[in-house]
Amino acid sequence: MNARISALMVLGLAAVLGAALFITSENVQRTEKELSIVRDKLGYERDAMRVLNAEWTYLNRPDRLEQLARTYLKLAPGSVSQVMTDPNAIPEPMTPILPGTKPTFVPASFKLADTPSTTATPKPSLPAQTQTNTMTFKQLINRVATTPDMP
Amino acid sequence: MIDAPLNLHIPDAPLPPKGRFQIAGVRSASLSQAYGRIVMISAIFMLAYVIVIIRAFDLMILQGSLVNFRETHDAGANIVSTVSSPRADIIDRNGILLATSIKMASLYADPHLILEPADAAKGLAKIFPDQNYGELLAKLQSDKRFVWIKRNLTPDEQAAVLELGQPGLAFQEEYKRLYPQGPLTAHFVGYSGVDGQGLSGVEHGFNKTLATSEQPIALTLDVRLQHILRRELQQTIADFTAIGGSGLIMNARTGDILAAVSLPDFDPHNPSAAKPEQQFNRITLGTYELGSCFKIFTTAALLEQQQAAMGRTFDTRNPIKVGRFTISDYHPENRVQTIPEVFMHSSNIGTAMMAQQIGTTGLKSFFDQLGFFDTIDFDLPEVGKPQIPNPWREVSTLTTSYGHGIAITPLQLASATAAVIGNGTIIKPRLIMDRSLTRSKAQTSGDRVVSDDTVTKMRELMRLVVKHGTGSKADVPGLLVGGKTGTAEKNLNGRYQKKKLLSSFVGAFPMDSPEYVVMVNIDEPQPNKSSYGYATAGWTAAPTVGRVVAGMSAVLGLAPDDMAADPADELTMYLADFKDKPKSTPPEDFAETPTGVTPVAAIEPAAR
Repeated sequence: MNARISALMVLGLAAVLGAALFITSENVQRTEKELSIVRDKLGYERDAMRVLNAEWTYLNRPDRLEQLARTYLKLAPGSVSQVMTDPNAIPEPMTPILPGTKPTFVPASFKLADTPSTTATPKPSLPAQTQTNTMTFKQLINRVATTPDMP
Repeated sequence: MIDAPLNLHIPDAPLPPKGRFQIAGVRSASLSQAYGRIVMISAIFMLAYVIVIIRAFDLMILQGSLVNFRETHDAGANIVSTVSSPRADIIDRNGILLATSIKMASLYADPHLILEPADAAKGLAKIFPDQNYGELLAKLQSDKRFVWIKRNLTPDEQAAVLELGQPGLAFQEEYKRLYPQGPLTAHFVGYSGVDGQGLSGVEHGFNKTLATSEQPIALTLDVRLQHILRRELQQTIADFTAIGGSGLIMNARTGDILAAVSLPDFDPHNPSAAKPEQQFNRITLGTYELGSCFKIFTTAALLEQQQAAMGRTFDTRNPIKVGRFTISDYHPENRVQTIPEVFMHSSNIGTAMMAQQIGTTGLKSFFDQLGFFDTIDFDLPEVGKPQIPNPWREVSTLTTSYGHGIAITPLQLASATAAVIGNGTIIKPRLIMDRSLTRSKAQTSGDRVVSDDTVTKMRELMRLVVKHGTGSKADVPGLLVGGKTGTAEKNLNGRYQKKKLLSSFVGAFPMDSPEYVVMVNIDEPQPNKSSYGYATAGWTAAPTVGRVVAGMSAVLGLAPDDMAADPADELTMYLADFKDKPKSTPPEDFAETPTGVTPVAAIEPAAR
């Protein structure tokens, strides 16, 4: 009778251990698979980021931005003539007129002081037009892809 | 308990009552054993089914999301990567990409594994509009085990092919070099060839670092300034129908090269299509006789070695004749001139006389200190070796004093200028931000060449050239631009060509404490109407520098300083024809007798 009970116990133990081993190994396999998938995803994202970075840089080329600004904005690069160097030329803020009080005297310095510079200062002007590469990023990639490598 | 003989096969025997029962008898033990086994076996089978169901649930539902990603991204299509890690990026000083590597896949097919060639061909034809359905179908139905469908797909195209889910389609992946800025930095970033081997520029010079490092290499260039410099150079080249040009913006204190352009340039994606003159780096590899720009160094040598006073005079009325050479001026002033006048009017005669006073040994040692006799130590593999007179004759001292008979790279000109107007020490130009990466062998930066006093005087002289002299078109109000023009006739096969000029301007600003050195060379400018028939540096290179400086001020946010004292005002007392000349008496040495000079009268006046 005792032998029978112990045999059953051993059998039960073996079954439990077997099940535990099975579950553990399943977990390991599963985690490893997850890990490799995460690694794959990372690599994929990294490569995607490289492409996006390259495209972003390509779209932000100075000559292209200049061309876009010329087409869509009424702005030119700042010129030194637009910079006010004399702090005294900045008008003083007016004292607020409070209700029920007599308005204070508006200072004479309120009007803009004359530009101190004596030399003729250049007006802001648009820079020279340059030839801009009008290829889209996809076209660029395709060109790079189809260009034969240097030997 | 039923007391009956054991016979389970008697049909009319009464059915045992429901529930647990025990058949008594001899063989009842073996019967119950058999019953137990049946229960056991069915339990095991049921357990097995339960496990299978759980596992199926796990695979299909729990792990389903992971499997989905696999399927869309690489399962079903074999990917063979030939390169494990990409070549490191090259960026500018603000982190803007100059060169990067992107993964490109080439698509091939194993026709034996293609399930439905017609479907696959239809799908592929939709993705690649440049390939037609019939050809694709023929490829997919062929008897081979390997056919190329398309080389170097974009990532979008690759994703679309994967969407098709055809098991017979597979990719081979590799990294390709991409230069988002195109030709803008082509000469300095360089380009690379097959297997990602760098073939020129930084790509070549730092090939090993780029191949092994994960960190990008940062250059000292600034793409915004690079663009401004290139744009203005292009405009000048177009205006004066020149054959080329080059320009450089350098930080006068650190030697950082902020922009460097050599025109004509090329597309680094397709260097084999570029002509040799397009690939040629005029800044570092080309050596040129830079003409009057050299007067900066001759004058600095005179001020440094002889402690010469600004009022020292030179009789420039008669050309100097040495052997078969005659040294004369482009715009003869026909009078006795002071040092500022000689410099401002760019008198060859006056400068040659300065060289006579300095002497051959003195001038040579000064040029040597500035590095004109050696190949410059620089971060690029493409550096030119200066050409110096060999043997150095007496007349070489006179001609090199104004930049003829000696050819150096424009890079050397700019860095030597930075030395004499900076803090008087050698400024080493550099292209790589990280000093630990730099290629240079010797650290020569910091050797003193001129005293602070000479530096101050050189700043005044160079500012004078822009304020009242040949470089006036380089001026930008409030920024105190200074510089020196140089118009050299090009030497072709030993003869100087009157119509083929190299017009240069090397400048710096703000001249009371220079921060930037700006240099421009225009190769063979042709006179036009707007320049009144001139193609000299004052009409070509100087205005280019003026426009570049104005552009820089907008990008870098440089404020004009109208209040600052103009260094050139220190020198007006030495100018004979200056209208606002102060009435104050000049210092005693104003009319000093030159010492140690070859008497001009001893040299016969050359016939003009």
